[in-house]
Amino acid sequence: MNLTVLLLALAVAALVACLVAVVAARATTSAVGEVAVSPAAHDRARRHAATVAAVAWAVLPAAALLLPGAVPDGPGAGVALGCVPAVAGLAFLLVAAVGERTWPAPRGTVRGAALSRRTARDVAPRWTVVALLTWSGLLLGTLLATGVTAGPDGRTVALQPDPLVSTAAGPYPGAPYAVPLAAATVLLALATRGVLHLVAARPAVAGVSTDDDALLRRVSGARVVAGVQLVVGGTLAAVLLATGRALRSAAHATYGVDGVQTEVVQPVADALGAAALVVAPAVALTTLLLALTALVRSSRAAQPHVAVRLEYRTRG
Amino acid sequence: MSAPRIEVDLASGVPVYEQLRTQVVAHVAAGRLRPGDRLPTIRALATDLGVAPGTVARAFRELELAGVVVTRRRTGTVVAPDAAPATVDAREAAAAYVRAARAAGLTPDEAVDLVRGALLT
Repeated sequence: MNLTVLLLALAVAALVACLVAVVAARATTSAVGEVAVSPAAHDRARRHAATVAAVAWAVLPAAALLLPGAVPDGPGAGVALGCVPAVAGLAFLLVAAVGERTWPAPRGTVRGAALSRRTARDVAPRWTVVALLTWSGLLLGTLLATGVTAGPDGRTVALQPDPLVSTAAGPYPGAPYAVPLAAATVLLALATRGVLHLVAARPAVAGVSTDDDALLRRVSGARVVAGVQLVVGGTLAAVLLATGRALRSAAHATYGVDGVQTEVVQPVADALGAAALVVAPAVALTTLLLALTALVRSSRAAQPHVAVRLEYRTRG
Repeated sequence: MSAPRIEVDLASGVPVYEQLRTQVVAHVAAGRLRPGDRLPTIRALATDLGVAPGTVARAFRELELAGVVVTRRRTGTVVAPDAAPATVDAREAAAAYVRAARAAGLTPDEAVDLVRGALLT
């Protein structure tokens, strides 16, 4: 494996881990609310959640950067490379799942619990789930469309801009790419639900209020879903980019008859390709911003509630 | 509104399942748990409290026998539809009376006769 890529991946992973840890542990205070039963217990739980998030978020870019170097050359290399983000996402979820299993069990003789049912739906902020479902739906829809419209080889798109000219361009995400990518997307969604279930089922944090315990779970859930929506959104951007480039390339053709060069354009494919090339970076930017927003919001939400303390001084 | 909480003391002389049972009954009687409210799963509550699932299962079984909760396949354990606060205390007392009558060796008819007698006073 290329040493430069290895060092780059390690550096990026360390940077991301540090950023997540710093953001997660930033000592600002939130609005005054319910006072934690035990600030020390809340702080320990917050640090535990931050550590799990930092390790998981370090694994995500490290896997995404290192795995392409491990893909052997060959006819299946393109498909394998296309699945790298999903594999990195699964590694991220695996670390998060292991982290959720490391929460300490209740200790002491007096123990408390809330008499309410928690589900995976309760621990993930709605907007992050909407983002993930939106990217997943758009990705599956795009893969379905490209799978149907691809040429017989499944790796190029074939067009006929003019009765005299046929064109083909690739790489185009036809069935050989679309089927594994769609399967990986579905697998990611199922794995995400499994990890959220672990977040909901982990032991209640001893020494904190029911509301703070629920908040800590939502913070963990937000960090998990934010990472997966980044993976799926990034994959969607890459698929749109490849699709747009192939469509635009296949939509344009030039041919010469008796020394006269004629350029022909298939307008629908050209417009679709241009639209895909515009939407791709917008999707990439949006998914990145959503991930950062989720991380910052969750770090703020995880801050312990503080009580207002009034100090009275007497003049001596 | 925050969900009602329960607390158990492992060092108490009262069995943990009994502590769970009485606190659920108290929450229903006080109206903090209403008919149809879903209780946590046995496994989730056992995990939160760090006790054996069998302990929670026994408490839920006793609550079901007393008519405080019902268990359905799809929704899990929920507060019984007729577990209004006014009737819960009476149900609990009836269940306690049946236990005491059985412990005393009374037949069902003898136990019912005692209740009829008490109602005439």
